[in-house]
Amino acid sequence: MISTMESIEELDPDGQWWVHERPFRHIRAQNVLRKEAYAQLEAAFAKIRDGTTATDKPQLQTRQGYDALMVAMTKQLAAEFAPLFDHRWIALLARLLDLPLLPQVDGGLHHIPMGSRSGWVHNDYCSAWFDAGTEGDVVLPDRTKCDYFTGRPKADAARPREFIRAGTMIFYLDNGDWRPGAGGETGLYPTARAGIGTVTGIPPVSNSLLLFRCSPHSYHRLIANPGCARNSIILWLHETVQHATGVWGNAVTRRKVT
Amino acid sequence: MRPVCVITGSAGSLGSALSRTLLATHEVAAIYRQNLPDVASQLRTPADLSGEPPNPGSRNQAYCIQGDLTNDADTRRIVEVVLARFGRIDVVINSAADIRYHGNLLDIGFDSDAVERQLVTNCVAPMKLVSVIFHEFWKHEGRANAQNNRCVVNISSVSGLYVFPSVGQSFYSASKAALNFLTVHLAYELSPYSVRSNAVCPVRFPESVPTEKVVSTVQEVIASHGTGEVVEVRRNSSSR
Repeated sequence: MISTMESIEELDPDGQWWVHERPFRHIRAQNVLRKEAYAQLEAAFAKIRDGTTATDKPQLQTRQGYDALMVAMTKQLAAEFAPLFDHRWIALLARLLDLPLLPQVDGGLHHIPMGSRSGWVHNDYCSAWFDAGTEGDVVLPDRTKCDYFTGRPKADAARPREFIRAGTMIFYLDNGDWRPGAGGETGLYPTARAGIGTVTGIPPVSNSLLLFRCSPHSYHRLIANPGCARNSIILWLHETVQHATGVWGNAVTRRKVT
Repeated sequence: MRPVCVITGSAGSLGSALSRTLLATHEVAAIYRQNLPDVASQLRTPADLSGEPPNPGSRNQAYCIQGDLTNDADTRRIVEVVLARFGRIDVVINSAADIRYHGNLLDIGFDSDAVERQLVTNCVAPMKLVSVIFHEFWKHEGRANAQNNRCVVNISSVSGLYVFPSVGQSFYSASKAALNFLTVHLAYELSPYSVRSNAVCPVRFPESVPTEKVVSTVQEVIASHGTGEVVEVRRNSSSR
């Protein structure tokens, strides 16, 4: 623990990180960042959240069939939301999930307005496309080159390369009003059918996180939040297709250019 | 092998605190109904940020068993699993409880069966668990029971000792008073087999007494040789 704690100075040394085994292996952490580091992230997030309602061109946008307001991660935003999109952080998450370290990550800011509906149960285990020409120790999808979900080229020079989502991190922040009963938990499920088996709800307590290996079993969804808004930062790690199929065979949801 | 302690209601604040503390001296079988106990176990281990893989089989982890103690089949299965894993049971701490206040007695004619279920959870289920353990293990172990100072500790409440009017806790209070009497009856019945039975009656924790104080009182009762005692726990003292 010491080596990582020393290399990521923003981590709270009193943070509690636990590996849970059911309904699938996942990690929950509380008091993740030191107070000052957390306060910076929350302030940056609140600025963008407030901009949603204050301007005609909000950064946060809805996606069809989903009540959440989202903004995809960009290089500029990633710098603002360090250390979460720093290569040291990526390395920590990869180690915790026992994944080969790859620089390809995606992410976003999510604001779920109060009164939103539950999301659909899904496992995140699907294709994700990056342009092969982009390099660095942290590589975010260049959405001007190719579609992240399908690999559809958007530029002549694009070289779409398929990866598979390998890990999901949800960092909860700016949820000071949240109380039990307010909703907005992340539900974890043993199967794709919500309501079958035990539902584990991860409360969106500020400065806590949920981390899990994406797999054919990592079923989860947002639970409706009648009590208050729910805010989070999401980050996905990726693996090569070869690595994914080596582990899970044909259970990977492949998405290709259509 | 370290002594084996079965703790019911281990996901509650007291049950989790007991589980964490007793892990230092006992193997702990942590029984829970819905939420996971707040203790290292085969289901929940501290993550090592240096990247070491989790080690679900290591020592100083409780062994969690899910079950509903108001269901007889679950109770028997729980005892079977504990004995299959550990081979013995030395201490049983009945801390599972329905702690709700169901309001005025004059209104229960229109209520559901909540009060009946409270009585079953708080008084009947602990006795059934002890009964199954007795028949599965303690019945023929008289000498070993004495050598290992085996015992039952029932977590009761000061509400089972005194009447606090006007707070709607009549059935909760009655269930704990019944548990106190059952504890003493149990002490008589277990006496020939050298198993002790005591109750611990804290005031509300952590508001009126620190949870740690309740835990340390339970430890003292486990280490003692008394039986048939009902121990009241207040902030600055414990009295029998």
